[in-house]
Amino acid sequence: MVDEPLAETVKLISADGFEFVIDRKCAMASGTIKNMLSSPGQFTESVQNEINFRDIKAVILEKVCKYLYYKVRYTNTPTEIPEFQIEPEIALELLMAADFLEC
Amino acid sequence: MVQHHPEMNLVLHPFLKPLPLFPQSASIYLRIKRQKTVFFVETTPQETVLQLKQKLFNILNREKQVKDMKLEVKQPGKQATAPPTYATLEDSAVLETLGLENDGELFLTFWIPGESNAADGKWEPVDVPEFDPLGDEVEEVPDESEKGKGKTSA
Repeated sequence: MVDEPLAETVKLISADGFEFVIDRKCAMASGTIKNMLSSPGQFTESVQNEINFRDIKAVILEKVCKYLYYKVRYTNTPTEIPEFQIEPEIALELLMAADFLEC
Repeated sequence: MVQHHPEMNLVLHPFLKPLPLFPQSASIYLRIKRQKTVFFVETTPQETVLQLKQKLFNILNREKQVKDMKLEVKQPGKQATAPPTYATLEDSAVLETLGLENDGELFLTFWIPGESNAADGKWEPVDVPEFDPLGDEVEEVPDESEKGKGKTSA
């Protein structure tokens, strides 16, 4: 009855223990995550499709996930791209996370 | 080429065709929360709640049946200070009709089957903790006044 293919998802875990399950293709929009998931060898990350981010809090990681969806959605589309709103109070930590994650 | 319609005093342009305002399959994502997990699920406004549950079924490695899932929306309390309530969504409801837009938030709960009788169970309550605030990383300075420590001289 269910004809949808098995979803390809990855799980990103924040410092405070929240789990974010996102599409693999969106996760790959981050250079760092892409490397972690594609590394040859049997690392936990590449086998279980789970990555622990001990330095990134849930508030920030959620914003990162929203950004990854935004990036995949609007990359290479001719439509008008809406602005990605960022609350000032998270901007600094978000900047550090974005730098680390290469996205 | 611009044509002049003889009877109606209109100028008709050949390339004016009605364009659809929004593409039919505008992809959106919803954040579906259960306890400490947030599922980012891609969907379209025309899909139904049942289709969302089928996607979750796949994401959860087919370990939880669609019938054992409940999706709810949070509604603010009647007064500003009242706690929010949750409304269960029907399987047949269409996301657009429910007013769900991109980045919308939903809450997922599972059916807990009864110990002796599987059909005699209950839905688990919505239990999603708030994210920890970012905080300023400033440690609380202990109170130095030493009240009640008996240092006052007689």
